Amino acid sequence: MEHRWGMAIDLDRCTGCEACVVACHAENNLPISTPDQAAKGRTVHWIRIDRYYEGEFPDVKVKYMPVLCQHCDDAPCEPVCPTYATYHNPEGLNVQVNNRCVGTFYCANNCPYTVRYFNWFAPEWPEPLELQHNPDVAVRMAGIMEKCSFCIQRIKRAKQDAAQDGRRLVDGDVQPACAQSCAAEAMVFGDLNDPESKVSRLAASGRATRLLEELGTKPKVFYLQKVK
Amino acid sequence: MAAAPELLPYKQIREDLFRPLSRVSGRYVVVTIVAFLVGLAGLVAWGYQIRRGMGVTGLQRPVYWAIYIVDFVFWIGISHAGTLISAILRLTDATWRKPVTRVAEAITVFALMIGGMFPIIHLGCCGRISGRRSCGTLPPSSRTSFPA
Repeated sequence: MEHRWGMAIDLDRCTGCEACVVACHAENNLPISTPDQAAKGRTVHWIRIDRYYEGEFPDVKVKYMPVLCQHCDDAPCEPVCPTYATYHNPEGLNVQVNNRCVGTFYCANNCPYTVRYFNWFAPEWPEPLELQHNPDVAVRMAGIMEKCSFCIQRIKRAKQDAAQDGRRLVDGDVQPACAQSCAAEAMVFGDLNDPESKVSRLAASGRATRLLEELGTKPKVFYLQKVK
Repeated sequence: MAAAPELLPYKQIREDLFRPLSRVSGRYVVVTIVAFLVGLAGLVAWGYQIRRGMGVTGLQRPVYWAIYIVDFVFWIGISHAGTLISAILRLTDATWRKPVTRVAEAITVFALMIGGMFPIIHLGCCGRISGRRSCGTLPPSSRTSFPA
């Protein structure tokens, strides 16, 4: 296939500002939790920032790690779905088909990155946030599994725009909301099939590691950090 | 020659046997009421879950199968124990097994009934089946408490 989408996240650049989380909520129509619901662990995020602490108290260093769906090539979530709601699309994306999902939780139980979220309750937004829904993304009904889609609506839009202009898709045409909003430019999205793309070069650099690589899931999200 | 054991009068045997059927003790009533209250609490909790959706059980990332599956396995295990007791007594050809077997098999039957309930409860608020639109809504108090 022509494209194979992937992402590189520079952990040495990430400041943990959570702009990507906010952007993801706005782009993908994610419900917003009240504080008491959040205290019960009922928030839904397609991307989250994990914190790691290094050192003892006053000399502490915090490392941030944005964790989103890794879009594994050998995704553990895919073979277990009885309704084929999660499958691998030809461009290597791990796609969640909302209408097929019946909520068996097999995929979420099998995901080593725990990036799948179940929306137990009907989504709600405080006023006036319900007026800013993205028309390109469906608001999901309660009772289905959700996860990062690599902003597939933006990929489609970019491809349509390129086709209309009669040109090929170039590196940087597609930007998921998180990468677009990253102030430190820690997130880079692109086509791994294109050896000249920025993400390919970053993935080939010596600093690239993948999350839980020993599980053999072959994630397409590369974390860049100084390897000791 | 040892004296033949004195036989109890038939009337007394019958009274001893049927006493639980003819009248109940106060303790029995108390225990029954407590058991019914526990069952009622379970029904109320189930009703709450049906109304608000499965999310009220606290299942969330990364634990998506928990209490109901554990309950199911627990009760199936109990029912296995009853079967095992009954089977061992039969295999060892214990002549005195009748009353014990009766109790053990009663445990098996009722534990199976209770255990079989949990997968059905685990299916959630049945919204997919009944098509109820209100399935999975939060109580109004938490809906309106967004920070200004």
